[in-house]
Amino acid sequence: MKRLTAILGYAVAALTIAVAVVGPLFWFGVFSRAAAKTSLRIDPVYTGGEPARIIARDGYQIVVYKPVLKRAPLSPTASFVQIVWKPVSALPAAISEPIDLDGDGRPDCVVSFQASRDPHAKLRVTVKPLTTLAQPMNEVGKDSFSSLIARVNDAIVVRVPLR
Amino acid sequence: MMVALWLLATVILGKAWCSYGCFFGGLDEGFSSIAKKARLRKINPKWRLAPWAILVAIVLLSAAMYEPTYCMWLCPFKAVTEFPQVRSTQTALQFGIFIALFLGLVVVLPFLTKRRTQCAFFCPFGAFQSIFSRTSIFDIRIDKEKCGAGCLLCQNNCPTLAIDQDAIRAGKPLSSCMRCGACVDVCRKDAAVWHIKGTPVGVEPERARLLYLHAAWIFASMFGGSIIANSLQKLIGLVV
Repeated sequence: MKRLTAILGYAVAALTIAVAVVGPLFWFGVFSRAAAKTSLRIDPVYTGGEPARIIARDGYQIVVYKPVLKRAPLSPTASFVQIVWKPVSALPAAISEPIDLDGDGRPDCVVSFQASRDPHAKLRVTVKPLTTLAQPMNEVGKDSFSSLIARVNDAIVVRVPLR
Repeated sequence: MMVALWLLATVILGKAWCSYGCFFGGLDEGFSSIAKKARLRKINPKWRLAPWAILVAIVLLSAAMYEPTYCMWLCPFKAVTEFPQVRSTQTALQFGIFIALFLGLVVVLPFLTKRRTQCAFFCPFGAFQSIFSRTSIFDIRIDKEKCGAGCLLCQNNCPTLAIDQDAIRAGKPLSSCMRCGACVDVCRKDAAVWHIKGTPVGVEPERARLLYLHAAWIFASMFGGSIIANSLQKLIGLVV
């Protein structure tokens, strides 16, 4: 019995070396496929939710997402609506756009920012509410998950916090 | 991808992730190696329970607040990776916490104690890994008969205080052992040895050591190889 456990021990130890070599090569693919088959999904707080409306402009488009509601009573991340302008290369230098956040046909706020083509330029967004839905934002950068402006690939993402 | 690699490493190598994979622990290790002698020798062993307390706290807080509490408020390594722009009281507080924890746990205390204080007394990730550490086929054993009266060199050199009198009596380190092998290297009587579960303790320890080190270093190379290569390329690009 002792000999058997010793043989098994050495066999598993040697197998560990093989796993150490090939594991990182294949494990990620296996793991990600297995994770995709579960009901696990990336939370909308990180993805911004699902697109609700696409507004076509001259050479670019504005994608308004569905509201992402506050996840837990103690959560510091407020409800927000994500808005994406893309592609950055086609944007005018200054954006000042009335946006309908809830899809009722009335603009809820005016979103303003400088759409610099320099990828390293700091972005700041100002939001002036037109209804009680949106919270104001004054020269905000990346304050929180629910209140930010950021450049993501060839798009500018703005998140407007809701009341 | 990181979760997948961490899980793989932990299951096959135990808490060796801390010794061979964790880039944050490397900073801890580096600062603890600077001084020749420890200036702070007496450490209350109850501090070893702190990572577990922090783990429970952040799990509960993260569930209640629905946000990654550790990343948002407690990670010392945010001080050297990324932290929020200081534009409000909250972000100023976060900045202060990150800097204080990094300087205290990763720079000053390792320098004074020559221990990996962030890993041993704070890291909740390490505490979580201790649970999975038992799945590994490799461990470290202490031969009580060879040890004899006990010089306690292993206890004094363990970076995470995983060896104490109880561990020596039990013949193996505590679950916080990160398989670094410092105790094996420092033991004058070859009482602390690498071991493969299922095999007799102290028989062919060199074989166990080589099998473990090959697996650990190969994993570290596979995991960190591209990261190291990219970093070197960027460093060369800065100079040239």
